[in-house]
Amino acid sequence: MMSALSTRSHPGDVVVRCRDLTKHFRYHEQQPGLAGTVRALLRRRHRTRVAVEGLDLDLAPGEVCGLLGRNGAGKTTTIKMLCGLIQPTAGELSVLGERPSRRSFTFLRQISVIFGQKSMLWWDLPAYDSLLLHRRMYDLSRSEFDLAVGQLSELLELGDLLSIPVRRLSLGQRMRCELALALLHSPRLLFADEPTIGLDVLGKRVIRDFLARVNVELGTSIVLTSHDMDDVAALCPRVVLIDHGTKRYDGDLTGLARSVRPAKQMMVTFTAEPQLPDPLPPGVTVVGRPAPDVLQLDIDREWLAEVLTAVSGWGPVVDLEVTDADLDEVMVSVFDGFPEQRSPGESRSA
Amino acid sequence: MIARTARTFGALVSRDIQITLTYRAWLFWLLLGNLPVPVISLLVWQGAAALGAELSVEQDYLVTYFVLVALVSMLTSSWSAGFLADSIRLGDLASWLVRPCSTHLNGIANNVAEKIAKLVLMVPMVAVLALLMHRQISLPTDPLRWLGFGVAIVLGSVIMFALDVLIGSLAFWVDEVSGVLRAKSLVAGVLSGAVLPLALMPAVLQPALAVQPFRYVVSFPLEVLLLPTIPGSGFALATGWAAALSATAAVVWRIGLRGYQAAGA
Repeated sequence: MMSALSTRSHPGDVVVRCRDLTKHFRYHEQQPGLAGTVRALLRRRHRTRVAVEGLDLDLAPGEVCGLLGRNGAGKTTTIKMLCGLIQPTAGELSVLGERPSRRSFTFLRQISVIFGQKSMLWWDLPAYDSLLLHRRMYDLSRSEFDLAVGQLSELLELGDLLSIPVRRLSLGQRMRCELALALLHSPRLLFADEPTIGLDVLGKRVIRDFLARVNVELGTSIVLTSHDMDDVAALCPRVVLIDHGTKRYDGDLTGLARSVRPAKQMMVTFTAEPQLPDPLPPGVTVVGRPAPDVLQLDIDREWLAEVLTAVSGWGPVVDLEVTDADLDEVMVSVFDGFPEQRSPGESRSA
Repeated sequence: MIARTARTFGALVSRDIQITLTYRAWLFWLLLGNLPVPVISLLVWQGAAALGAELSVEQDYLVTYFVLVALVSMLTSSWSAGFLADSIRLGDLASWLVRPCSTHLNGIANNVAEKIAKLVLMVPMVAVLALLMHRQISLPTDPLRWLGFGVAIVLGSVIMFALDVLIGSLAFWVDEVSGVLRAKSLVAGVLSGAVLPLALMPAVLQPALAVQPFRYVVSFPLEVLLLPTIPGSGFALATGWAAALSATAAVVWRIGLRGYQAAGA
């Protein structure tokens, strides 16, 4: 199906390898108001902000890895270093066997970047013209180009969209064209920074399905950042949690959820107000009562079977739903566990 | 690599002509705005000559100079500095850095396309002006002159583009470069000979005017075309300025890029 978009992967290679990766930003501080501006003219006070500190990360070919963290945690800075946009302050970094900041043709030919908030398409032209430009930049033959455009158009249901000036497209249509542009040269590694931001549910689904398919059928490795936990759950078997520039977790999403919110959630609806035993069975906490006949419980996993049996004794059950903690709530719990204020990471100099 | 770069360059030029032609009215008014300064200058100097002012150049030279000056100014000009500074400041540069195509190749293509599109409209305007003044216009017939004129135009364009990259690169360190751009525009207008021929400036300034880089942007190509002898040392100096400014721009760009934070990307 996607034969023209071969990514020429080399099994056994490490796609990304970084050790002790560090990035510090230097910026000047200015007091508000006219007096502050005048003072800053005469004497600038500089600060150094630690964006990423001592990050170790390996990515295997074909792997999809989600970088998670709150705003300013260091996710985007990490992606910028991995794709060669900015140079690390310290540490070792190798991506596809190259040093990204050299930005060699060999390196750039094998990667692609999607910025959810920055378009790579030319605004005033139809998307097809952007594809033609990329054909030249990436040195694709006419037959390679035609085949790739045909397949991407079919997969992303582009139809006539490619002939409409980009500025006239909706956000969802534009993102589909952005994906076609990003995948035209069959990159081995795709960086997707908030690719579904601002999209409606259908738009998000198209993007997720397409990325999943690209990964499975072409073996394209993907590094994704997203604040939408549904994106992460749908695409990333592995997540790396970054906070204050340091790695706090590296593993699967289920493991993260269980370590932070080990309890299962149960919502039980009775025909009438239930008669709860006193005391409650071990491992059970009532966390909410949305209606007199509805109970919301947190249950330790080890007691789940017993509680399921016991619940029918509290009253006639109409409906029962058992779920893991909602991923957004998991992330809230994760972030609540980290200190909000950065103090050791900042230094000041005049 | 050269073949790929040439093909990419061709595609970028074609794209920019497409975009420029999309905004036809804007282009027309932009061009119309280029003509008043040389036309007014020409009328002022003709008036001065008619009142008996002693000019250091022939009247015919002056007329031909002012008829051609808008064309030469347009051909050697560059408008990349503002775009480059904005792309650094707003993070758009990131989209070039992750693709195998230099943002400067894009800048050169953008300038070339702008000139192609403008030539289509400007040549008829200059032709009309030339027709009105045809008795006082004398152009050389020697092909060597025209070849030298072409080379001088290319060297002038390189000087202006390198200066633009240099000024645009300042955005790596300062938030606003429009002041520097305005200053450059003012200085270049006077020192290049776009406002009046350098030959009409005081004799005491002539040695300094002859070696400064802006001379090679407008005045020198016209000197090559219109003066009795082609100044050979001028080509050496123009090449020197073009090389020195290009090298400086490349170094400054690399230093800036090393500390680039890609904010906004």
